[in-house]
Amino acid sequence: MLLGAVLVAAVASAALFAGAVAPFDPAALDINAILSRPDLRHPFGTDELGRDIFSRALHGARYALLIGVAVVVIEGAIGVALGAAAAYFGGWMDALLMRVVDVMLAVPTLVLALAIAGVLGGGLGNMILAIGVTGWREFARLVRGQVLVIRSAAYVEAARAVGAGDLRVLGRHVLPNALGTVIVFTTLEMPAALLWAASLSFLGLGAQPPTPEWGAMVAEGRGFIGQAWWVSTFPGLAIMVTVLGFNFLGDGLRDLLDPRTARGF
Amino acid sequence: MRAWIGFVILVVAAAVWLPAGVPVVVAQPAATLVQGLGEEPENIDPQRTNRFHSLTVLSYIVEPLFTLDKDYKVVPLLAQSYAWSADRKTLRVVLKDGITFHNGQPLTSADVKATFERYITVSPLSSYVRPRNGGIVGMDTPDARTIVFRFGQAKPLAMISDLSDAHTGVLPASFIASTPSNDIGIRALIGTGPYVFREWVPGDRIVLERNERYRHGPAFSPNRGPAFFQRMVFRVVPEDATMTAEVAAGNVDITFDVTPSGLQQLRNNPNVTVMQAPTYSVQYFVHNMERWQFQNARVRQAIAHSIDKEAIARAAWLGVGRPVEGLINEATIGFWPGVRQYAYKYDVERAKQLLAEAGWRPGPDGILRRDGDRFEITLITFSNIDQWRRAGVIVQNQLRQVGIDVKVETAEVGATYDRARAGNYDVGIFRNTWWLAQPYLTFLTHSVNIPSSNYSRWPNPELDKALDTASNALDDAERERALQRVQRIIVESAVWVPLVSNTSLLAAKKSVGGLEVLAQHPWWPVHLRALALTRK
Amino acid sequence: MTRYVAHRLLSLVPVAIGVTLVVFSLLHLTGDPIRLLFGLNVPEEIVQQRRDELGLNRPVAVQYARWLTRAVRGDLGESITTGDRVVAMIRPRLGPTLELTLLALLVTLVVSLPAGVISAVRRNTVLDSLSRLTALFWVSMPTFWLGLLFILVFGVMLGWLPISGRAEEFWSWEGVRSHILPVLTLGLPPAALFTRLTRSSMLEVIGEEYVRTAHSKGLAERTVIVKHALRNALIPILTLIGLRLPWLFGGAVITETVFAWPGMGRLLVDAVLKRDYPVVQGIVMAMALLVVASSLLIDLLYAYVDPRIRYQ
Repeated sequence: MLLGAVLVAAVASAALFAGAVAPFDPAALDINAILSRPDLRHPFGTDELGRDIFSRALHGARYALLIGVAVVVIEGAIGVALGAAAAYFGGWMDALLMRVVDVMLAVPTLVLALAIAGVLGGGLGNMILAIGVTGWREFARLVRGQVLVIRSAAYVEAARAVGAGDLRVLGRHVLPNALGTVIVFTTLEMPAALLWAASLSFLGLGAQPPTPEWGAMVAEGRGFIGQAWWVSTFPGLAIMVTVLGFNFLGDGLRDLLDPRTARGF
Repeated sequence: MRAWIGFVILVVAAAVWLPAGVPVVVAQPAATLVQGLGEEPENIDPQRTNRFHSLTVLSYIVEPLFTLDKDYKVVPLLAQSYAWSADRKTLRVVLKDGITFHNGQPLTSADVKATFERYITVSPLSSYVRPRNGGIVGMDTPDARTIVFRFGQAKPLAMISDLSDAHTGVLPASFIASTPSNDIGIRALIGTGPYVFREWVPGDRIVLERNERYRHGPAFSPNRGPAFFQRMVFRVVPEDATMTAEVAAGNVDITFDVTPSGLQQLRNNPNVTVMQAPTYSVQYFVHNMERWQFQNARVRQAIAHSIDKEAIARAAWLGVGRPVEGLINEATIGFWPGVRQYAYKYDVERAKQLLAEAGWRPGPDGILRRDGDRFEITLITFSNIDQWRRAGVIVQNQLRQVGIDVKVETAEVGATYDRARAGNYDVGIFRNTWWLAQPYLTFLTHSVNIPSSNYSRWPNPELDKALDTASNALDDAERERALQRVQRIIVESAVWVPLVSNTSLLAAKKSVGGLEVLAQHPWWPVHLRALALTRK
Repeated sequence: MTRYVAHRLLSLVPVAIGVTLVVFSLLHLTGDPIRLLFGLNVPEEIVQQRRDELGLNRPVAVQYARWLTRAVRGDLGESITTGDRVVAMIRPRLGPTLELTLLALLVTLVVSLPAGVISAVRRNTVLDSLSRLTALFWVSMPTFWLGLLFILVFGVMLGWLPISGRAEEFWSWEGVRSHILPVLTLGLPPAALFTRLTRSSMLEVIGEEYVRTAHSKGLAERTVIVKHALRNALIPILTLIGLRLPWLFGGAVITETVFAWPGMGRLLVDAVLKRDYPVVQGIVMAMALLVVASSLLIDLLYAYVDPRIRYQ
């Protein structure tokens, strides 16, 4: 968990200070330094247009966090709303919403996101949207389960007894109590979002050039893997480190919430 | 525990059972050539397709009546002789004797007639010879070896653009009649070519077998038949990096689908030969003339002056391209070298001066402004072809240097063309690949093709008139003069800015012979590959 | 049991219809597939003619109704790009994809079950940390990058394994070799999740009364772990397999593209990029049905293991 926090903090500070730390403009071309090996001037080497990969990787942290946060916000908004509504109101509402979730769960996330991104036509915004509107299903299930448990708790019954309205009960009493679980899930959902984004970029439906998005950088550099390994390796490592960080962090948070499975990390 | 064991049994059983349904293939003999295909053809039906990779495969199997030699001269292939009437409206073709289809039937004029009827109705490429455009209004078959084409009006280009094209590859009339149209080129294909269609494993490979009876290769071919390799296997490898690795590892004998990014790696490989051949492909930049910024010719000229084609050739194409001046290049039939003097040279100072003359002044952020308008434009190009995506980024950088803010928006090839047709762009980088100046320049620049294929959206009566003359005038010299005029207007107007022409890359194992012939002439018909390739 | 199966089968119908609705409405917002198919050097009249032939000029609702009635009869329509029947296009792709996903699942289990058990039994030791770290390592790599690295190392640099493609004959040296890299690429990443789950459910079970009883009876450690603990820990793992199946199909899309594997995933990517909607619909439907069918299978296995479920 500590390691996770450190890694995530490192990525976050890269995102914050990229402008100040990066030695080069991430979009600046240098036609005379195409595909140069990592050295002191370019610690991660340069890509096929002579751009400094180190600077691009630093700036890429911003896009990584943007993708992670934006996707999770979209997923969370849809998932929490539908999940909470289903559990709280129950009855036909629950049946209908859960049917919808069943339908959506039957289609593999990447497959659906691929189809949607294909329809929307690629680009960073469309990619985030495609992943967001596909990935909310497990959120909805999770929130529903949590709310079902909490709904029957004594304090909720009490709030209702004193005449609090549905929305008020849901917003003030039920959702805050489900928050812990949602946060853990969110932390674990961020790396998944990053990986999906990288996959869509690989299939050509990702961020627009010259955006230094890591997935797109790996994808664009993959043709050079046999002759200039550094072009796709460094952004690939960046994705890996970030995903690892969030996974460690999420794991740790989960253990905090559920001490039964705690382990020494 | 029982459930667990059950599950494992299930998984194992499935794994064992599944592949059992797949036919067994014997180990490939040395007489097999494995050719890597970068894209799987949708079908290999000569009449229904217009895709490059379909053509690559079907050219081994079917043949048109004529073919072209390296000097663009029409050479009979299935035909023995031909004669035009004086008014150029009737063409009489006599077929060679003794040619048979792969199913053993002899080639007759009825087969040619059925093929052309199919070509005219279903082919997306047949508009030049369609009856409503004054094309082929009738065909007569006075005897089994003679076919007479009757044209509605003189069609001087039909010989080159249709009758010598693999898309009119002749199929047996009985095959056309008895096979559902959508099955042709997917489940079966019968022709007269040097290879016989054997098997298509979708997503994996297409297998062809040598036509042992084939003897009628063109005289200019190093081998008139039969072909050297007994078996020709086209393996589908869609991922560029994987293709490079396959060639490097020697699992693919030859491929015409190497990307510039894999070039260096393959050049350093001692077991692989890499060759470059000129192509007729041109990468070009075009303005959307519906935008007010481009109405002023100075602005267009300034943009043309600020693009460094050399940099695009070096970085976007990694050295396999070279700057070009015309919308078609010298490998294209009908190219006029005189076009060079009208091209705009890379000159940033001149570009800045022209923009200033047009009333654009730099703002605080370095971007030009005029009457409060910021000079910002959107450039569209292809996301899935590296050389186009990179060219977009380079042009973005270069225009930024003269104070124009460019936003690059890429999409897959089809989506990009869709967007171009919708007019939702300011400038674009597209490509042009055809071996004939006409009717191709009509497709790209005639006002009747706005918005479908003319992305300049610039209706210009003078250009239209020159294009029409270049297509239909009976006098050869008159057509040629008109074609020169067309090329001059295109470049001089600076509406189009031709960028780079690339060389095509061919990578093969050292043991594959006959490559030199193929690398010389990009316009040589693909089926020559079938006859030229050997094992050293 | 029969009633339970019938009930579960019936509940699939609305799911299947829902999937068609989602996919159909989604795809009909796309651009013009005909234009894409023909490229630029084709006049508008020919494009219109083809559009009429395919019924693309009719209202979406009419197109959907027509498609659904044909789909019920097992006819998924025709591809816009090839003109071939969609069912005929999917059929040969089914085998390679199922083979890839099932073998990958096997790899996942073979890697993660022992790792999870070891982690649980030797919890909080170096071995525990190591096995969890390795698992997380795989799950943190983008699938396509992992595949490319495998190709680079084992295919190009070492030359041990074929780089791409699927050898026809499975039971041959080449056949087995051609499966190794794609199966590992698809099977290793999910191992992290399974290791973690095996570990936590083992930990839970080990704490239970009957395991402690077994211990106190003096049974050997190995017997206790395998016969008593693991067996009970498998139930949640079975659930997870059901939940992760969709992921496997998603991963297959990427893996098949990298390894030129002739499966459904590759066909899907091609169809999406060419906006061949009948084919995209067909494949998404087929994948959804496969997912639903396998979760049904898992439910049945469950009911078989745990009689309480049958009578709910």
